[in-house]
Amino acid sequence: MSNFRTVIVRVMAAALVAILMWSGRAEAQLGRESVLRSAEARLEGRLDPAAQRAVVAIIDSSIAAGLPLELGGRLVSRALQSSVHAIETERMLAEVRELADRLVSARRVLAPATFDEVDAAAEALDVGISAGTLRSLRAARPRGTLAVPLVVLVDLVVRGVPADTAAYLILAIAEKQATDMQYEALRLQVASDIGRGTLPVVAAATRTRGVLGAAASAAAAATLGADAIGTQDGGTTRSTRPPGGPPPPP
Amino acid sequence: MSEPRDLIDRAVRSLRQPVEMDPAARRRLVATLREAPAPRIGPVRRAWRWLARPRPVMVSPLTAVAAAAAIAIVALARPVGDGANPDQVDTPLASATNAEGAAANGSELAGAADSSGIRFSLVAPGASRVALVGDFNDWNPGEHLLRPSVTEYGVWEIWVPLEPGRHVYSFFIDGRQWIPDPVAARAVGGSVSAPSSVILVGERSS
Repeated sequence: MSNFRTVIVRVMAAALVAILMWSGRAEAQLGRESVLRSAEARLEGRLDPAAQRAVVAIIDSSIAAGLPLELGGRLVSRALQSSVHAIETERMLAEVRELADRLVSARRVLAPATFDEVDAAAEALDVGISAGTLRSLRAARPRGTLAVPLVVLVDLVVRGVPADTAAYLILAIAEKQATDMQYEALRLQVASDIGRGTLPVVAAATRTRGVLGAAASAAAAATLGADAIGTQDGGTTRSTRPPGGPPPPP
Repeated sequence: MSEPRDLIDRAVRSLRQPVEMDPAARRRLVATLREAPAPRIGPVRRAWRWLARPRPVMVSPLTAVAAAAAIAIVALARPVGDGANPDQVDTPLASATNAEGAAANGSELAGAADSSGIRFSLVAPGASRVALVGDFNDWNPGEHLLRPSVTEYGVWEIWVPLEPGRHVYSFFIDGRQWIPDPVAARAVGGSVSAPSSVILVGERSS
């Protein structure tokens, strides 16, 4: 009787697991079909039917390979961008396929990552940034989003800074815990310098030095602040300035 | 002096006498009233009469105090107006590409998480038609046409509500020239020779 009860419990547990797995798969299937239908609707009338089917097939296979459903629209957008610029169909399809591969790769490298991080990382891969650099960036900035650093990195490369140099500079800034605004300031300054005739690599290196200095100052100030808080908590006072500096205020 | 008084008294007595009515006349009057059609009252008028008819309402003092307190709480809790800053209506919170404010505060890439739109602008004095084309309008050159600024000569502008996320776009001038946003970050366009720009509005979660 006890054996019979055990068997029944096991069968019911197995059935429950099967139902849960089936419902999860059904939900994923629904999401996938929804993405594909949306892609078809967006491409309708913009591409010839054969190209349209080919793009949808690329999206379908990319989702099967691990592309998040939410990024399926990115492939449609690339196809439409190529279409409006009158890029020939074969070239357009090749680019959509390459973008899909890069999105899947970027997701694997950065996981867990936001969609914007994956999107920006795919572009970084496109301009020659290595997967190792992406991993290093993630390690240097474990909490903050990588979307802004990656967009700035791609911008530097597109403006003419060599990919390995740009990666080195952005990593250096990331290791100093620079803020999004500092990345953005760097981008604007470099663009401005290049516009005035400075060599891209020189502009990037010079401006990065400035950001590094500012980030180091901010980090030092933060350390001093934390130190001051710590001494107050301990009920003692001590100078955190280097010897030879001015005396502390009374 | 007493004559008018007597006259009035007689008149009063006379008026106080019951008036005898002919029974036949009474029957005729009742019959006429019965035969007359009832006046028609429309549903609206009937509803109004029902609403306007005064009725005695019985409320205990405790209930009245509770009702007054509830009304006071509701009135005090409700902010003046709709609670929104009128200056912020239709004002993009994230970036305004090419705008000095955006360039200065660096919000161009980061955007604002609660932003509901972006103001795009471009200096193109010689242009006759400027379109904003990007992934947010499926690269359709006819969807977002910029309008000449009323305050700045040669500046074209448009306000576009954008979903949070990363967006790629370009300006399309006079139906033949693609140019990137001069102050935004550049994006990779594959074999598309014309460079495009990228903007981050807030950030989508994964």
